[in-house]
Amino acid sequence: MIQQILDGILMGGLYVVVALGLTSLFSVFRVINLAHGALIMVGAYITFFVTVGAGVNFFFGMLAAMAVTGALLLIVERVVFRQIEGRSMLIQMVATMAITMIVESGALLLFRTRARSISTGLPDAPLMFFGLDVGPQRLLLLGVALIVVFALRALYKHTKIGLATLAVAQNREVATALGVDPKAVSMFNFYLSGALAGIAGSLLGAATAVTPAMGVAPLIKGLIVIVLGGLGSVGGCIAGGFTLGVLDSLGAFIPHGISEAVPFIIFLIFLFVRPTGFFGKEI
Amino acid sequence: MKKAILYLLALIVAALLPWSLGPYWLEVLNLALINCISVLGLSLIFGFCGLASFCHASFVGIASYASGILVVKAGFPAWISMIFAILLPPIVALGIGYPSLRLHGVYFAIATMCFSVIVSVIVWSWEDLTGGYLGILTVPSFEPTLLFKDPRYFYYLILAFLIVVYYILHRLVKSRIGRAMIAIREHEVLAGSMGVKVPQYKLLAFIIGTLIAGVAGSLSVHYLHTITPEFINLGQSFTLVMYTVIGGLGSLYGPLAATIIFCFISEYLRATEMLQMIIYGVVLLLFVMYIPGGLASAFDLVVKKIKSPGREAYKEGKIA
Repeated sequence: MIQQILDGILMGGLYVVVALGLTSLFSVFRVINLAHGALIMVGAYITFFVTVGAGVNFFFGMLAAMAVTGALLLIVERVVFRQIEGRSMLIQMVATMAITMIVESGALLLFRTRARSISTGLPDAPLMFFGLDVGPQRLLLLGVALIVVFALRALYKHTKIGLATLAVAQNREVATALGVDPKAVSMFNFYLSGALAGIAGSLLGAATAVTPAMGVAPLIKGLIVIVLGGLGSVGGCIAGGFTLGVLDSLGAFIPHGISEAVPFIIFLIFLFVRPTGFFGKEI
Repeated sequence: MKKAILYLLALIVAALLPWSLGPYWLEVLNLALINCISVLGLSLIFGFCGLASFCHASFVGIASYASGILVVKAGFPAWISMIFAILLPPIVALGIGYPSLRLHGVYFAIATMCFSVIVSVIVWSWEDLTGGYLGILTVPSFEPTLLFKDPRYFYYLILAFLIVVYYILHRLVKSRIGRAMIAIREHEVLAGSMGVKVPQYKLLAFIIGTLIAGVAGSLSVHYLHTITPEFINLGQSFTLVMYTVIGGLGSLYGPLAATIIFCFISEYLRATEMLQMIIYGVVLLLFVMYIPGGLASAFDLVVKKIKSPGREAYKEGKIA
């Protein structure tokens, strides 16, 4: 039981990374990026080909995935989002849906449904600590999530572009009037979101298997997390991610089939009881 | 008068169609028309009320499963099971819509995405009821079975439902209720301040739309005699959204035209299903970016040009 909860917390690290990627776009542009799952899948494939193909360390694979998925989302921003800027949320979501269709079918066409696995190169043996398994494979998820959280915190607190992002998120017009370049902020955040999808892809690929359809589940989980945490709240992403991770692993005690529906039921209950999430404000 | 003759002509052509098409193309046409019915439902939700619903195929699938299971496992007559199948999706929709539609549109969109995945998971894993990946097989057609086993007669049944649904929606969107829904799509807060009960009308649009999905789902399972989890995955819902958006948001005939066109194109691209999805994605993206009004707006533009060729020239200053 305690092992289950611990596993949930460790897995929660992955959800945190996914949710932070979604939030970094939502909080600034009010865009729900349905292509985030597809980017996660691309990140996993990049990691796979770099680590297996070129035979380098897993962490270099992760960096490569970050670079590629970030660049991909940047291209999307330049080509698609510049064109549909200011249109309704509905239309922007349909655009990201179209991108998902293209990328996932493309992956299916290129790689077929064969599952591939990524080796992290970390020792596989379980590391027992007070009777609990805290092996390096499991700690990897949590460790990377913590690094991402602190890196983002530093980014938003101490760098110029991070502060500019916060300003644009609060009030675009005023921020622009005060000399913030909204285009630069937009490009930075799209790149950041893409890079976070790449990290999530590497981690998920290492934790499970790499397939063209692997992006759907983390996208849904990520969406639930950002609602649990309150839309647009970074602290909420962290709390929501770990909560969902724990609930997910506890759901394994419920008979098969229904356990998969647990996050969704919690999501619906949350909408009834506290739609603004743990820390969220009304939007 | 001119309009009445036009409608009569269209009806005669539609009535003669099954006797002139071969069995293969009739099959394609029937499936396209069933898709048309479900797209009409989505058009009301998505195009008129502006609700981002990404689970329409799930509602069609729920109705299909309900209709199929009631007939095959409980031995109901097909017509009775259809009534239950049509009523089930709106009840489920109430469960999702009531908590999420009071809030910002994002919540509803996320709820529908989640719902789509959950329905898939339940259908895959509840094998006793749904038959797992095999689905429900050997679902009989509507009574009298001998008549409706023939796709040519089933065509008339589908056509009748399509015309009824189209007519009801056509009247609905022109009515006070429809105008309220359009007002919500255009500006939710403003509509609310003008006295439109925003959550109620959203819920109403969602319920009517899913009711129509129920009609399509029940027709589909009795026509194809089978329903499998393939019919209800997220990709299917995405395809329905694609028809609606390419057809034109806020139009009824645009999505119909888009559905029929794409169902026939699909037949030519059947050999390469993944390539098909890539092409669809690119087309959808181009429509979203450059033709926001969809096929309906393009059609309107052409009609306007034909009716008053001088107007554009006047605007351009060629005519004083």
